Amino acid sequence: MTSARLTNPDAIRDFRSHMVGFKEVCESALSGSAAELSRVRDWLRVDQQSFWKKQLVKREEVYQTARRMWLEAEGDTVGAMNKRGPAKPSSMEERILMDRARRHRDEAEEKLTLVRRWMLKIEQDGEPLVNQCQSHDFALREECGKAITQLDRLLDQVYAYLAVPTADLRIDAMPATEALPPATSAVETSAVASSPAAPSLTAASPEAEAEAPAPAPEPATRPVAAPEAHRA
Amino acid sequence: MPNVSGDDALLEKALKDLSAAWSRSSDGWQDAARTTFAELHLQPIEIRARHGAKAIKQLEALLAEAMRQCS
Repeated sequence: MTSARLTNPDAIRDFRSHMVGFKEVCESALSGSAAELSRVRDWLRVDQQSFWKKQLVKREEVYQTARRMWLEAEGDTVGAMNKRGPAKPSSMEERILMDRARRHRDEAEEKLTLVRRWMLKIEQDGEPLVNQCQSHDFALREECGKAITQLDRLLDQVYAYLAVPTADLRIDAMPATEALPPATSAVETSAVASSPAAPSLTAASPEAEAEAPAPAPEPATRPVAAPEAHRA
Repeated sequence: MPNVSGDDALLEKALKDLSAAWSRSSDGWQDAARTTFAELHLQPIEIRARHGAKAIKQLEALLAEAMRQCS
């Protein structure tokens, strides 16, 4: 049997609480990916596509009006030249307005095309990434759960040896320093570290336990005065 | 316009914190069970979480670019 070098059971308990916190962050970060994709997709479809569709209609009307005005101005200019009467010197101003309106219309058309292209790209490239996130999410839930269970086994073994009620010592939301009375920790730590019959943590695996179920020796001291104080 | 969450950074930070907590735990816990735990549980979790953070980062880059170009 390998000798345990556990000088402080709080080390496992503290790490367990970090593992629980880590699992929660993973779940929150990875499970939010689908919602994030949906938000952007809806923004593109509902907000941007609708906006640029309306803009395109509006800007097309403005362009057509400007074009009519330019054609009229062109007619006036040519007619004036033929009659040799009071002439409209040029249709340049109308031409400039028409060109500007056409650029605005083209811009709306390009934006609409761009929005549609991104809607497609998000489906094609975004969905597989969301699937990856979900796959990692499920796997991490399982792997973190197994890790926490293993830490619980180790803690159970340590505290069984020390005969401390683990239910009072494994409180996820409670900081380690509050959950375990300092005096208790000190006594038990020395008991684990100094006892020649200290249990091996490696024996925590089911196979090892089946092979050699080590009877828990009577603890030298009995700690933990009031468990209720640590359950809240 | 929706915001990009920055979840990849959160996950990276959580991973860094977990790694630091693991290192700290070596002060009071050093035995074969620790090594076994690292090999069987911690390392696969770390690899998986890094892949997860990478996937989130790629997704967020894609969405941010869509918002930048289409706004």
